[in-house]
Amino acid sequence: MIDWLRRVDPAFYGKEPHLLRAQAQIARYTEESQAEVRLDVLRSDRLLHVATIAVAVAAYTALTGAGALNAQGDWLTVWAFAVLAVAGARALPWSAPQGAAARWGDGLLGGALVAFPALWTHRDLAVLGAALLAGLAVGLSRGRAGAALPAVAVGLLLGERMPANPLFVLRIAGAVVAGGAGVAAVRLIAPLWRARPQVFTWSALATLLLAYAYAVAFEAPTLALHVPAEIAATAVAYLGICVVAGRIRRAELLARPDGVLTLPQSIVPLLDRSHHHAIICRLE
Amino acid sequence: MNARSMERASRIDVTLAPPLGIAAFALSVVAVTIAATAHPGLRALVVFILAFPLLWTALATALSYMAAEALRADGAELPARTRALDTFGLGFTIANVGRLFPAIGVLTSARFSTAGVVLDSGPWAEIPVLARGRATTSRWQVMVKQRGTLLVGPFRAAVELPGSAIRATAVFERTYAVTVLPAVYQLQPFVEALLAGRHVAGGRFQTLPAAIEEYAGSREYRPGDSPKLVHRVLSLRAHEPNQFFVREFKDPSRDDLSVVLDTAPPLDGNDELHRYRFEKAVCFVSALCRRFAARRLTVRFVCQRGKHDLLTLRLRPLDADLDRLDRELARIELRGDRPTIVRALLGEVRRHGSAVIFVSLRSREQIEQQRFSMVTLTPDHVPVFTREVVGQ
Repeated sequence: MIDWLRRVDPAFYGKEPHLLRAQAQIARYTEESQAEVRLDVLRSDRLLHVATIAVAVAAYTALTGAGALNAQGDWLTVWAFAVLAVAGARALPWSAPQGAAARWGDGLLGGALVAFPALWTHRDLAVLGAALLAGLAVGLSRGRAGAALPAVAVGLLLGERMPANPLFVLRIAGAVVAGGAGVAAVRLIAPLWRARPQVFTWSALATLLLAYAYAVAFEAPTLALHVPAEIAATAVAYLGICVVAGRIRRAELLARPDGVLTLPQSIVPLLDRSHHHAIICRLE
Repeated sequence: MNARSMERASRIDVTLAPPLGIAAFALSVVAVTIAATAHPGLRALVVFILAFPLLWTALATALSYMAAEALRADGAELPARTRALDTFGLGFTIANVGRLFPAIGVLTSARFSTAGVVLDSGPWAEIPVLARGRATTSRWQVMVKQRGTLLVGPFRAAVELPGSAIRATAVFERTYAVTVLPAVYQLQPFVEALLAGRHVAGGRFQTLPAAIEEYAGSREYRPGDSPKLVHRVLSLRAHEPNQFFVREFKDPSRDDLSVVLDTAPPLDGNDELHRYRFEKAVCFVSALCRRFAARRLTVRFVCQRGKHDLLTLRLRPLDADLDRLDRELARIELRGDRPTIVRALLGEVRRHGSAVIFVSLRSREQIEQQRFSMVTLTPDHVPVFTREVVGQ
């Protein structure tokens, strides 16, 4: 117990609390500090990173009809989905702070997402151009621009589908509104995520389903060409989300406090010179 | 494992997942359904897209609730008594009486409460998998500093599978009481000689008997009395030929000391200060009586428990008596009044041969007490006499 006290309060033997006027103490195990510990556990979880990439790749494959959108030359949609998959995964809270090498690695993945499915359908400059642009967008964006990239992709996806109108401005306005809605949703969920990490499971499922709603609504003919492959890719994406949810649960358990102290108790007279907690409990 | 003897959860607390997440999920399900209505060719894909997350969520939710409901409490391991500043092990055994599924990821915690203090949030002990029909024990280490009664319980066991829309917590209402005795203080070696040396007792004003045992009187012989104690002269004078008398001796070390604890809060100073000094005094008295017991001295302990409630304990050098003292000290409060304490002091001082030690909460001895032949220990003395210890 004393070793534990020494660990949770390094000044255990050094400090001399004001015995009778002790009203405040160092706050330990706050929600915020627990969230930080949890995030550290998630950042160091390799399986979680692999599962995240698997979800992104599988979702992209399913949403683009196993790459069949390339055959239609629907490059803007393909680009947006590729950027959304890679930049969205990178914007997740447990993604480690990235250096230039990691950013360009992601850029390469974004380009590959566009290029690989197109290899057996198109072999022209348009494929290379779309892949290159996706790679460049992911690779070049960093900091706030990197975080905003998924919102830009969402905006482009919805802006593109705005009703044809002689005023091109309406399309831009639609894109801006959609992007803003995406940012607002992320801002709503992000603080919630720190306190209740399992909210990620619901967010991931909702995001995937909304993307499917989009693809089904606007790309139904293309999706109908490769239904078995899309089901397989969707299954992989869902299983990936299951794995991610399990890893988040594991992080919650690993980051939970192994001991708890009562709140400051000025009413409890001190019997020693270590703490002014009435009850201390820790895991054995 | 006898499931009937186990405690069933008194209730299952259900905590919903964040409503925002559930709302987003529900809206997206609606969006996919609406988008798919116009495209019957994609029915297989859409059914799979919708069925997988819905089934997963429903299954995880149902399993979480069923697992929590199948949990039974199989008792807690904890001592009936502990000491303040000491650590005790707490064990809580939980069993899964479900017939179908194991309970996965069970988290257990206990609530601790003592006078005015509640520790209600963990720490959560994890049971990764609790197979059906099996039991396991979660363990904690607990340190209590508050003297008195510690209530342990209710215990909680929470199950929340990934993807579940709820966190199901089984609450076992039974509580266990642990008496928290005063902390063990170690006294400085000079205390004993200073206070209660056999021939140099500061608080003694009567002449000490020179012998170990003094003649106190005689009484009629009873079976079991030693023949060596037969009073020959008195027996010969008896009218009946078979009537014998034996001598009785008194051990002067009995009731050799009186320790009086002040439980009347002083009028000056603040309440916190008085409470603090009182806690120190209680622990000090416990340590003092134990030290006297180690020297085979019998002690009279006197204190006021409440209005018109004077506690007098005769403490022989036996563990049972010392335990009783500690149990009384664990419950004692600062509820005395000055006149009663002074009367009790006077009574002890007037007892024949008794050395009196008064453990006072006041910084200075009052004028009327100075006339008494006794030792008064003020709060300034206690730290000097004491070597405090952190835990044992």
